[in-house]
Amino acid sequence: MFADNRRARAPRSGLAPRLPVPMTAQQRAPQMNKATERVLRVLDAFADDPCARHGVTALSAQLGMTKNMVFRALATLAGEGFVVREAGGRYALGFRVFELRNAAVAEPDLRAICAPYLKRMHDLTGETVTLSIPVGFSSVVIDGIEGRNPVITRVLHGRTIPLHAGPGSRAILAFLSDAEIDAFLAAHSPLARITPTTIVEPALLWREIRTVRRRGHSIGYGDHVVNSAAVAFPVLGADGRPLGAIAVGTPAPGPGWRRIKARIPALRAIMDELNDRVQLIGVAPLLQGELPLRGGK
Amino acid sequence: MTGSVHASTANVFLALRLVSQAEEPMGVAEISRRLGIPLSTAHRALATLERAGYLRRSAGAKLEIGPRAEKLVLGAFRRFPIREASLPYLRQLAIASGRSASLCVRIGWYSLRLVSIAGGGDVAPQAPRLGQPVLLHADPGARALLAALDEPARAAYLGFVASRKPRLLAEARGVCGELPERAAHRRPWVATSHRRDALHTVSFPLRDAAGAAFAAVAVEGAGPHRTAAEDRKRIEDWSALVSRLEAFLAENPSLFRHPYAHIPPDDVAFA
Repeated sequence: MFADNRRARAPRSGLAPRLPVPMTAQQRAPQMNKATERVLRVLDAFADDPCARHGVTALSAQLGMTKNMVFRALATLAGEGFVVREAGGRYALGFRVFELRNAAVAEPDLRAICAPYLKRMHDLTGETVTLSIPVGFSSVVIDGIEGRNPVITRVLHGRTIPLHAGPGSRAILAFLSDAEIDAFLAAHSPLARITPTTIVEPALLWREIRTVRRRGHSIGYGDHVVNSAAVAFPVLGADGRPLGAIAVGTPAPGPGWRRIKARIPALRAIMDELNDRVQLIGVAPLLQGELPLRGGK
Repeated sequence: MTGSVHASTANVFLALRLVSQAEEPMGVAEISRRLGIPLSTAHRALATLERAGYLRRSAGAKLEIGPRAEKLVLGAFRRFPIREASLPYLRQLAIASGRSASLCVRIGWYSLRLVSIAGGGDVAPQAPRLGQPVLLHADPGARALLAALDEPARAAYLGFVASRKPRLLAEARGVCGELPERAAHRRPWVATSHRRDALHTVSFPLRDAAGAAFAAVAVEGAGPHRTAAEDRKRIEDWSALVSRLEAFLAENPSLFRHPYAHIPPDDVAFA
C-alpha cells in the first residue's frame, strides 16, 4: 500500500559533479584518459544496476562501445576487483567495491544520515532546515540548522507538532496509509486550529494529502507558526513508510520564501539522493513503534 | 600507448581508493605526494574521477568520494538479499535486547557488516563501520562464523592470516583457541567481552539449508553485568528471535544467495 503512495520520481540528473572541473589537464592530454573514461563508463553500468550480471555484447550495445573496448575495460575492472567474472562468462559487481567506503557510509542512524543533506539544503537556501520524526500522532523536531538571515524561523529541538499542522507534519501524514490517516482523524477530531490557516476540515486535509502525495512535498503558509512558510519533503524507508520529514522554512512573506520556492527542484534532487541512500542502507526508525496504528484499527 | 593508458588507469584507481579511505577530504598535492606521482599526473587522474562523479569537491575545495562511488558501494549492499529480509528481525532484536543488533556476512575469510540497528542502551560499538571488511577473528560480531568452521577450515583460515597478515596470526590463534566447541549449545553462540570499553558482544550463526554458517547476527551493548544465569537466559531469548529469522530464511532459500560464494576464500583479499 505504501509503495503506491510514493511519488513517481522524475529522472535525475543529480549524478553529475556539482562543481566545475578544471579542464586544463584534460585539454592538454585529451588522449591520456580516454581509456580510463571508458573503464569508468563500464563501471557506471554496474552502479546503475548493481544486481545484474552484465555480458560483453549487451554492454557494448548499451554503452555504444566496441566489444573489444568493453572487454578490455572489464579486464581492468576485474583486475581492480571492482567486478567479478561469474559462471557463464558474465560479470557482476565485485566485492572490492566495499573498499570505496568512507565516513558517510556510517551506522544507519536517521539523524546522522540526514545531517549532510540538511547541510546541503541549508547551503542551497540559507534558510532554516529541520528534521522531524513521527512519534505517535505527532512529529517531533530532532535536528536542524538555523538560517543565516537577520530574521529566521527557529529550530526548537523536541517541539511536538500535530500531524495535520505544518508542512513537516503533513509530509509525514500524507505517506501514512489511508487507514492510519482515518484513525488519526477519528482520534483527533475536531482537529485543533493552531493558527488561522491550520487545515481543520477533514475533507480539505484529504485534498491536501492527495496533493502532497502527487507532488512529493508539502507547503505550508503559517499554518503552525504564523508569519512563516516552509516546504517539506518526506524521508521514506525501504517499505515506503515515512521515517521523518525535512522542512525548509523562513519568515514569510519575504525574499527568503521566494528563494526557497525557486529552489524546490534542487531541494527535491537532494532529497531523492537522501531517500536512495536511506532505502539502500535500510535505515531504522529512530523510535520503535512510533506509528502504532500501522494497518489501521 | 597501451602502457601509458594502463598507467593512467592505475593512477585513477589508486587515487580513488586513497581518497575514499581517507578520514578527511584530501587536496591534490597531498594525493600526489601519498601516491608518489607527479602533481600533473595526479591532477589529471583526479579531474577524470571528478568529471565522472566518482569524486567531488568538498566545501574546502578538497576532494572527497563522489555520488557515483557512493552509489557503487550502496549497490554492493543490495547484492545481498538477506540484508533487507533481516531488517525487521534485527529491529525486533534491538528492541528486545536494548542493544545494537547487526548482521555480518562472510566474504572469503572476512566479515562484512551489512546492517546495524542501534538499540536503546547507553553503550554501543562504534567500529567497524558498515561495509568494512574485517578478518573473521577480528570482528567479535562474526566470531560465530569462525566458531562454526570445522578444524580443517580453521587451519585454512589461520594459514590465510599467516600469509596475508602475519602480524595478526598470534591474535587469530588466540581467538580460535578460545572459541567454544561447535556443538556446545543447541544454537551455538559466542560471547565476547571487552573489559577495556565494557562492550559485550554475543554472536549467533545463521545457517543455510545445508547447515553452513552463512551469516552471523551480533547483539552488542554494555555488560555483562548480570549473573551468568541471567545472562544465559537473556541470550536464550535473543537466540529464539534469531531462530525466527533463520526459519523465515529457510522458507525463502533465495535470500541465502551469496553473490561471492563461487570465489575460493583464499582468493578474496582486501587491502
